[in-house]
Amino acid sequence: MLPPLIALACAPAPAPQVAPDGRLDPVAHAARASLVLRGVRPSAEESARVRRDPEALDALVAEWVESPLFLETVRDVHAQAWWLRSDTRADPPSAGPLLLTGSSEIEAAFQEEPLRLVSEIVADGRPYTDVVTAEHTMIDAILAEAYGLPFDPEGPDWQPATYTDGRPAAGVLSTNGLWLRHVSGVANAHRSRASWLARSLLCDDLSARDLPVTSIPHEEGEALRSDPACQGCHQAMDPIAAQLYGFRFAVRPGDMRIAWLLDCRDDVAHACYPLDLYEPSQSDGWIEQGLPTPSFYGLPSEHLGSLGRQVAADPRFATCAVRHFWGWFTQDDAYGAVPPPVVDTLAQGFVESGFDTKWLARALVSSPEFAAAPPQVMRSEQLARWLFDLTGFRWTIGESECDGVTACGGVRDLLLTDELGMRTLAGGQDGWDVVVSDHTPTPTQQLVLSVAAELAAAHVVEADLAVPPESRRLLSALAPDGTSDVEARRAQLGLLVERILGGPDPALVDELLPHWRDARARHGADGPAWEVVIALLLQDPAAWVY
Amino acid sequence: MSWTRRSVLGALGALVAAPAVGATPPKRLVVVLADGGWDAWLTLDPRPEMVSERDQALVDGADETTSTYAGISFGSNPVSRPLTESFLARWASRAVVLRGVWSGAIGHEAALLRALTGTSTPGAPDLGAIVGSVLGHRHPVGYVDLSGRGMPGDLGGAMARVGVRQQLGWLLDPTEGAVDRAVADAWVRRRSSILRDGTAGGEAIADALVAARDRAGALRGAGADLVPGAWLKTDSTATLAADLLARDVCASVMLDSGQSWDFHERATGMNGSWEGLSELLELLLTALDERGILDDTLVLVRSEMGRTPWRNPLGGTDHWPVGSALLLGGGLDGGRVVGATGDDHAALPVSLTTGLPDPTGEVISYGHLAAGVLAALGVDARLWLPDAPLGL
Repeated sequence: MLPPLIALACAPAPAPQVAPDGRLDPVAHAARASLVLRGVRPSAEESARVRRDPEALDALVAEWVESPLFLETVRDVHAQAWWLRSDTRADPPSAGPLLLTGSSEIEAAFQEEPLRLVSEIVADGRPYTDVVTAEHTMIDAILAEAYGLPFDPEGPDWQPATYTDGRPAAGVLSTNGLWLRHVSGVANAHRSRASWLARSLLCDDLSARDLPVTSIPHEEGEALRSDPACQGCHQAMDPIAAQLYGFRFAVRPGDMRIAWLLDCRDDVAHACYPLDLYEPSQSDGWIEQGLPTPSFYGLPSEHLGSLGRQVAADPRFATCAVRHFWGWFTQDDAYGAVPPPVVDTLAQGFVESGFDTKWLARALVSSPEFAAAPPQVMRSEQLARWLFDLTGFRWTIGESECDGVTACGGVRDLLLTDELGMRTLAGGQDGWDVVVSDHTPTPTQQLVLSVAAELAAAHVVEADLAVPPESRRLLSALAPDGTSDVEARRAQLGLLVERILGGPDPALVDELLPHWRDARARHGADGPAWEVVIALLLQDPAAWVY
Repeated sequence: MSWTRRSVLGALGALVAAPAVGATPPKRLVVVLADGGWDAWLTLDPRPEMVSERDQALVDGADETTSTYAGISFGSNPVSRPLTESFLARWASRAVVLRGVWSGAIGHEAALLRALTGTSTPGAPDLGAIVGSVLGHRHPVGYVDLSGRGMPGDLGGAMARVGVRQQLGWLLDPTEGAVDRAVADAWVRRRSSILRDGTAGGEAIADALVAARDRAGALRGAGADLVPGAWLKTDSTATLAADLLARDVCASVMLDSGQSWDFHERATGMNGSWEGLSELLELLLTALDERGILDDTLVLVRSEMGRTPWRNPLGGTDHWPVGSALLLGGGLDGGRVVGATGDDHAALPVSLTTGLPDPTGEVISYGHLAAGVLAALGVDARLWLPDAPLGL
């Protein structure tokens, strides 16, 4: 008897993907939902469930939002919306307690801090408003050293921790990681950070408004208070900025390196590990700067803690969160544009659900608008996760261990980074220079896909042929020595189609067979022939367009 | 005279980038970005007395003055900015200086969007992408972004990013493993037909995929002189850009000046930034000239905004809603200034016929400038910039 998967592979060709009304059929809908929620395609069993019973999709979606992969997506969504995970500028130093840690890994940990807090809130089922009101943060072993916070080495990789330097609690707004990335300056007076808050948490992009003047009076402070052209933004921006005093304006990697070179003497000690980024004595610094009294869009607010609560209570906060998820899920992430009506509907439901992020994700992928959205191209984050899920391949570069003597960046995932990586070449954002993703196929995206597919195919063939069939990821229909007769070869191709493209397609197997034979003849061995057909399938539009 | 939208878009292009007599319109574009907001009062829109008073502690005792080259008056300080001086002396005859260009915003991202795209619409394609798409449709790629700041919008299919450490070079490595890439390309092209299934947007994405795959293959075939893993150095980007254009790998390129400009503190660095930019431009123009393509390559040098005419208490300068821009090469009728700023450092309205101050004219906006560049290249600005602001 054939294994169930092979039986599936020999089933009739799948039905058309599109219903007469332009919406996806349930199997294609499931694939899209799985990819946006988890970054991987449904398993063959999951697709089969939906094929048998389209109503099963709801139950599957409910399972998927409980998976750790969904939490990765939650972090991806916020990394994009909040311009985090940037790595194209200088890295912080491997020094002091972090001498043996790769500099890129330190930088990544900094920027991961607020993202981990968000995903922990979602994982625990707490209201999304905790994002700006939580009393703790999340740290890993690197951040424990970098920030000087207690950490249980026997515990999970990321653990809750609480700052003890007197900073008010305001969720991500109280994290070092956010303000290490989004810096300000003395003259800027935290305004760039206030602008970030308005744009990223409320979708109110103050800095995007036209400034209808061609000069500004020399007495700038007065102009900001009295000139209508300036007031439009500064009336909102400055009272928010006032509440961010206490945080140092900027501690850049360069500052950290200089501090270590100066032996962390008193005047630069704050830039050595453990970093000291908050000074309670400076929380009233806005008075000296001449900023207006702290407030939030005209509503009273006293400090960072009350600012977080005001943000959470603002109706735009819920709508903006929905826009971020909508943008990620549908690749309609032009934040300056008017969002579609479904965003308002979802935002209302999101609030009524008690800011339940999993509810939001389920509602979003179940909406007719999601099912009718145009085809999407896999993001580099999805490509990385999908390739790993299928083949066990991660495209990395760098040193896994540092010796403390030579410069050491650490390990970088090339599909998720930009200094050496391919993320922007694949259409993604770098969180600094490139803050709008490409959502159509581009020449460099095709080059990335092509090379990644070749490498992943080579990886999985080598790994699979080194282990027994039952332990293999993709080549389980081959004999223990990797050989195959005609029937097994065809069954194996069917399995590959099923696994990589998400559904059976006997006609496609017929098309792949000549490629397998040509490659076998060209290279004189079965392994390269399997590499070729797997690489073709990994680049197939049916695989990475959904 | 009353201006219709159509006539304004056309007029500015003709005025700003008028070709020299007998020259044909340029067919290539290089955008050089001074990312951060430059201080043009030092150079392109000279105010030597103001700068001397403002920066007296910053200029090493050297006097700010003006020098006139090819009829254009530039800010001059041969001690603090010798390379800038020599660059302007050599190239002014092939330059058009634009003064008093309204930036529309004074936040970096918002102003940069306007400066590069000519619009305030997030997701709009930048000039390099538009020109690359229109004039580079037969090239392996239309537009190569060496700056890392390219904004292709929905024209991503025309653009190639290189990566800050030239990692595109790894992707162009011709070494093949088991997979014959021509076979893979053919597979993807053929299989793109499955996207033409009636889904809204399916045809468009299939077309885009085929085009992108073709261009990827062509780019692989054309190659590029990249050193993957090495930082993209500013001086090497000049010759790389000239090579890419001369070999018709692309029709447009964007470079970053490689300098810091956003000196809110200790503005002494601004002199060094102009020096670095001048060195880059000298290399670029020389490289374009040596390859025989300077006359058909328009070089736009600009920053997203200007800087205050006064120093802040930290010795720096802050953001200013008016700036200058520089156009070079492209067979331009050089040695000209278009636009002006007044005594209060604000932009003055100018006649779009003469380029001279005219109270009944228009303030040159970021939209005007972008439209002018497109028009000079023979690209229909009305099609690409329907929402461009036409002044205040």
